[in-house]
Amino acid sequence: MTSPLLYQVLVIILAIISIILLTIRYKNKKLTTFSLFIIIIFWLIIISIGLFPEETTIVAHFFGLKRGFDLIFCVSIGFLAYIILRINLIMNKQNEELTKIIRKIAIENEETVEEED
Amino acid sequence: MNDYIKDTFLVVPAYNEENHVEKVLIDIANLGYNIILVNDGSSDNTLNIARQVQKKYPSQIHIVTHVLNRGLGAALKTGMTVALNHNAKYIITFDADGQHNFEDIAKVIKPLREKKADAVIGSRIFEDMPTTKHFANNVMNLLTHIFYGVKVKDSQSGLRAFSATAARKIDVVSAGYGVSSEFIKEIKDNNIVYDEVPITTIYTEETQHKGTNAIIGLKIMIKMIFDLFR
Repeated sequence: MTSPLLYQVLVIILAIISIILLTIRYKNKKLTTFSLFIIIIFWLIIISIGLFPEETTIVAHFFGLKRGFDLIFCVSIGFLAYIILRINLIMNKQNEELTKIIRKIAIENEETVEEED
Repeated sequence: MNDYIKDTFLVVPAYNEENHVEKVLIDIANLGYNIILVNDGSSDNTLNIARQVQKKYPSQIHIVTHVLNRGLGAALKTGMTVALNHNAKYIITFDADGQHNFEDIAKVIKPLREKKADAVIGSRIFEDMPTTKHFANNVMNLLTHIFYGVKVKDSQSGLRAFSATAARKIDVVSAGYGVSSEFIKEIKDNNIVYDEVPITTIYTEETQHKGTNAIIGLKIMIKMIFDLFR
């Protein structure tokens, strides 16, 4: 068996650190079991791709793409687009909440002038 | 004075309108209407000028202030809420930049008074618009038609009139200029009977820089697309 390349070692270290940090968050009840599960699956996929990059070609062929790299590229673009959409929706929601607070303050502090007799 | 005038509240959203707000407030107040001025986080002298005018018309002018600028849509919603709190019978939205003609106020209330409609959109005459605005407003009309399924003559008009019943039903969430199309959507979704009345617009160099242009149009379109996921 050939010794692992530097990037493969780095990917594994990064994945292990991430999983440890997430487990701590889970223990502190800052993460749901479902989220932990999904994120661990995600990191396992990253480790698999890192250790066996040539295997991605098989999956790529299944989707009609020639190289594993093309598949990773497409999935990454889709993932980033999803993240942007999610962040945008969260920001919109927070903006609406902020507006509600500012509106409440505005209405409670309406300025009227008492008419002189 | 006609009875309806004291039951009519004009919602005037103002963001950095120190050059126009005094004239707009005085001209409306002299006609006898009530005014809700929404100072939308202005950083200039808009609020102080409005307070000075308010002293001259204490029973007619009410001022509310957003501590941070939240955009046209948010300001209109705040103003409409305050107007309803004052038991308004008719609510008019009126831009503070001096682009509307005061004689048009009576025109947009007329269908409400005659009970022909619960919402009235003041339609600007597109032929009088500068070319870029003409184009941008046509695109916005088309987008409003595509995304919200309503075909109106002027989807971006700032001069609108609502009965209290309609105003209670309308719930706009767009903070910025996208609110104009959203008003149309809300009118449709709530089955509010509406009318369109031609109005005149006063174009100055300053008013031409505000309102819908190509960039704002693009932003509104992106917002409409995101709204599909709401």
